[in-house]
Amino acid sequence: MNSDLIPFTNIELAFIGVYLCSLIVIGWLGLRARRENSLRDFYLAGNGIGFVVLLLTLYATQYSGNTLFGFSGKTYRVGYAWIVSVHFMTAIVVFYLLLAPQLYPLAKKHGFITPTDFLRHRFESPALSSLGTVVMVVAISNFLLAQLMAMGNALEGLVGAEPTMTYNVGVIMLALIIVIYETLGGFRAVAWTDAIQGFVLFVGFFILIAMVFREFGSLEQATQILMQREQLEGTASKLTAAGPSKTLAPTGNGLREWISYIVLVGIGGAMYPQAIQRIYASRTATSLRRSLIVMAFVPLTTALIAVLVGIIGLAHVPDLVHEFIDDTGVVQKIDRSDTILTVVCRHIQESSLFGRWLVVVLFAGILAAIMSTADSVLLSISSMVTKDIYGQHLRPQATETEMTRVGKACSWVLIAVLASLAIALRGTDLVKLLDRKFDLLIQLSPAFFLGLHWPRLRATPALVGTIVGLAIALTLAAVDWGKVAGVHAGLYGLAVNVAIAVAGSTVFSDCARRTSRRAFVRSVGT
Amino acid sequence: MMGPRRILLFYLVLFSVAVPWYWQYLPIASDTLVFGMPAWAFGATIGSLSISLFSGWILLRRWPCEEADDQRSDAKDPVS
Repeated sequence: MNSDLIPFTNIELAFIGVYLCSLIVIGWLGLRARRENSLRDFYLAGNGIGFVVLLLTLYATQYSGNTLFGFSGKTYRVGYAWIVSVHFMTAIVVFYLLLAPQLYPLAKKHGFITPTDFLRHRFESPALSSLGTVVMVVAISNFLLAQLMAMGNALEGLVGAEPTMTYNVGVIMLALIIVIYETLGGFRAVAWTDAIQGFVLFVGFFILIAMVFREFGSLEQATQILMQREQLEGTASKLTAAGPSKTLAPTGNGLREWISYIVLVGIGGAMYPQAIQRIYASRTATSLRRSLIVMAFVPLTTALIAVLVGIIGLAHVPDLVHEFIDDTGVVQKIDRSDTILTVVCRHIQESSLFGRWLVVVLFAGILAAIMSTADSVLLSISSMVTKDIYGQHLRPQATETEMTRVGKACSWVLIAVLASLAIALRGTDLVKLLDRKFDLLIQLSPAFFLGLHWPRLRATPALVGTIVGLAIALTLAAVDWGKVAGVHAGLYGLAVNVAIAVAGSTVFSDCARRTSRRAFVRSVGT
Repeated sequence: MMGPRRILLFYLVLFSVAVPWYWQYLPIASDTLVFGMPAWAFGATIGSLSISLFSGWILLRRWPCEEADDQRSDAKDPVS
């Protein structure tokens, strides 16, 4: 992906190296700060984290390699319509409002560690909580895989060596650094490194947009170039051979896709297990609430910047997607739109020595974005495999020390498997991976959202609804109907899922309802 | 303070404004730019900002469980 960049000099690479080594030092400090050898201390930093670290870890975890490479690349392909990314990232905070105020006190009261601890507590259904664990592990393993691939992409070309080898070395080296500092310090190390990474990322976004405006000119110029190009190509009147307009407002299918993305990512993002664990890990409700206030505005400083970079890149570097007829007469399409960020950086590198160093800092920010998301996801998967699968089903009598040891071993095995897959799957579209993850995660939302707010929701209808929802989402995706009439496959599954959960719970007898109500009051409160 | 139903209704209105479904019906030329963006894109961004502002305002309200947090910190405070 970065073959367009001027390779970094040894001094510039040393800067990146020092930054990466500092993460391992933080892992060691996390180990020293450990208070006890327990799951709660390893996976949630014991009594929890305060406002600043919580905010930065939420920020660094939520914004990932997808935000930088995926969003700018998608904007390059679809134009201004990808402003919907600002909406769906904001929608995540809106859905948190349905989750956090109820879930936080329950987590504190009952000592939840993994997201499915809530399901086990609320429904007392081993089947539902086990299904929840499997769905979350599978969905975010997909996400972790995307981050590992983004790591390889981020480093590819930086050292001027052969791209495939650099990609492979990049995936392995960065995965190794993550798993080392995570094994040393657990959640504490992850949250502290996230805080640094979040700060670097935040600075990186502003450096990026400032550099892009300085190098390529204003947004107005870029938009006018796009409009003039579309007029020349005769595409201003919507769909033509050249594809949808990059500057006109979406209509029809495009609008349905907007609404679908807002609902899918809004709910799915709130269901990230690593984000739910950050709700658990907050030291106080006030810290959590204040962090969410800031998070509500963050999309305007991140997703919007990625979109603007994509637009300016599209205007000034128009040849990343093109079609040609090969020797056999078949039309071939070359799509390098996900490289737009690095192509833009190449221009900035060439401008001056100052530009070169700004790109070095920006790349530290990009690595921060990717690694901070990957470490949080890895720790979350490790916690669920250890506590919900090993501790619940394989060795219920295991001690906390043993489970912590198993959790660390699990992280190493998992990272080895996924790093191998990342190397094998080099070149897969990042946004497609993102879509599948949310299709799965949102199927758990009725059990969480309705489970917190609707006393009559019963375990069996919630379980059946989740299974049917998953079956629909996966079947549609398998037959390549990832979106039907602009709506994501997962949302069709969710609609049936909710209908089954609500209808099934409603038709229970009065007696069952009274029992359900008593169970709800006992588990969730009034 | 608003109740849950009014909050939901307000969110629906804000998202309806933020999604640019109505721009095709407005008598604004498609090449009109505001702050360098097509007018509809700027309108959608302002719609998103409005959702952020409303969410921030909702989150200014203390959660019931914060009372328990306060009591815990009061109990730990040796001065009190």
